[in-house]
Amino acid sequence: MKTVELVKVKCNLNHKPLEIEVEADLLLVEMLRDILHLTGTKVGCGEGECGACTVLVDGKSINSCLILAVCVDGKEIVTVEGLAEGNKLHPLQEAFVNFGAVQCGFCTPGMLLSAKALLDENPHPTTKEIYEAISGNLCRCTGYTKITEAIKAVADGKTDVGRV
Amino acid sequence: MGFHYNAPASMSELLSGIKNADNCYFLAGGTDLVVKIKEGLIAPEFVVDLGKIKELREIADAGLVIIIGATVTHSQLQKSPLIKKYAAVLASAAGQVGSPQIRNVGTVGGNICNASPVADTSPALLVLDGVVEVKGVNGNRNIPLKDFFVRPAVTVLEKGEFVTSIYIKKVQPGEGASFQKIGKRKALAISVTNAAVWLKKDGDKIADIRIALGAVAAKTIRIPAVEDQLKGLVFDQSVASKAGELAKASVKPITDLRSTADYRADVVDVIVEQAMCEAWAQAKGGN
Ligand SMILES: Cc1cc2nc3c(=O)[nH]c(=O)nc-3n(C[C@H](O)[C@H](O)[C@H](O)COP(=O)(O)OP(=O)(O)OC[C@H]3O[C@@H](n4cnc5c(N)ncnc54)[C@H](O)[C@@H]3O)c2cc1C
Ligand code: FES
Ligand code: FES
Repeated sequence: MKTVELVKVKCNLNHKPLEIEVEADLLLVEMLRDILHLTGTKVGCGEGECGACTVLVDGKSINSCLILAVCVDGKEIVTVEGLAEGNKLHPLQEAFVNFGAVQCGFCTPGMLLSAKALLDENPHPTTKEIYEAISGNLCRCTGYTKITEAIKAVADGKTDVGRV
Repeated sequence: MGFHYNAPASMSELLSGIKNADNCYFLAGGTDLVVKIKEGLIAPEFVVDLGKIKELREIADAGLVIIIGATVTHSQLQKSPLIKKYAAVLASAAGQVGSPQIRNVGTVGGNICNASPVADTSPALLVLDGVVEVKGVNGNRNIPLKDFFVRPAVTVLEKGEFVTSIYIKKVQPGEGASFQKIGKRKALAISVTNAAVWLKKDGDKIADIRIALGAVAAKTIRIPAVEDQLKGLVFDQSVASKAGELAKASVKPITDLRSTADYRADVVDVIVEQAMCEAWAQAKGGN
């Protein structure tokens, strides 16, 4: 048996400092789900194809199933658990609810974070830019229309309008 | 599993810490490496993370050339004003890699070092006459990208050598370049075939041309024999179409799970023609 080497990781997770020791080959998504029990982040394909594991690292969307936990040392991570403030939903979460952009919900955490990365960089995206931003997130249920509408509504400041 | 992990904070720390061991791997974005480790295709003993070395992450203007650090991500290339202005062909290729998540993490150095014949930045870098700057325990060397690839997953890099940057030539007024990719769908599709063309015009003639093709051989290739036949010709639609046919005739693609040899050859014909026309239009516009 090989000796397991632990590596220290210091980062900011959902706006709070975190210090943790992890095995060098642990994936970020394994750290989040299995060690920290933040199970909002999902695993679909485990190989970068579906986007269910999307989280933000230094504000950018990434697949947490493809990166090692040790690589986020010194970085700022946001998972879906870090979106709401207490009981107050993030405008994107509110819009997803109001627009019926959630069916089974498996893609939702990843979709929300891809949408957040987009709006933080480009507050008034075109529909094409929204499609592009969520092109790494698969949804088996909604057909994407309501997701796109919800994101557009937030960009237009009309979170509460909704169709449901 | 399990390996020794090290993330040097500077180039000097990296150079002093390099292991000459057979199974020492450099880690950039990890979008290829992590998958290979998890699938058990490789079992590194040492992993050296390049992610903390700032100077490898930069894009610099050096007059006639642009110096691109090895760990510059596809997103950086796609959005860099410098790249968009002087090497739009590379911004376009990088922008067609995977998905936003993959582009935010995957790097240009990783793309070429992984040496996949379908890598999307390789054709663009090849037609911009890319040169790879390499460092290692035994010193530095510069390798033209056209001599860099050997076969899938193999480059001319030796043990303990790593890429620090890639130099490309700026596309000048009177020159144009284009990248074309055909995959099965738009997002997250590995290329069935890809191609890039750079050309320089002189009046209505093609003064010089470089053509690179992906996914038709064991590595991304230039086709100098075809390039030579096109130099000096007066450009028109029939010459672009002839370029496509010559390119098609010059390659022997294989059938694999992503496509058949026949379809690949047909696609080469079409995308080389398209790339020629787009490159020419750009060269004209720049005059
Ligand atoms: C879902 C998915 C979709 C993808 N789609 C595409 C696509 O459309 N087009 C495409 O071209 N690729 C695609 N890829 C492949 C991959 O994302 C790219 O090749 C990427 O550029 C690799 O960069 P990286 O930084 O992640 O490399 P890493 O995985 O970190 O490294 C790749 C290899 O290069 C070596 N290496 C890395 N940097 C250096 C260096 N500086 N010096 C020496 N060796 C080095 C590593 O040791 C490793 O062997 C896809 C991958 C996934 C998972
Ligand atoms: S689980 Fe990470 S992309 Fe599918
Ligand atoms: S809501 Fe079910 S996958 Fe998107």
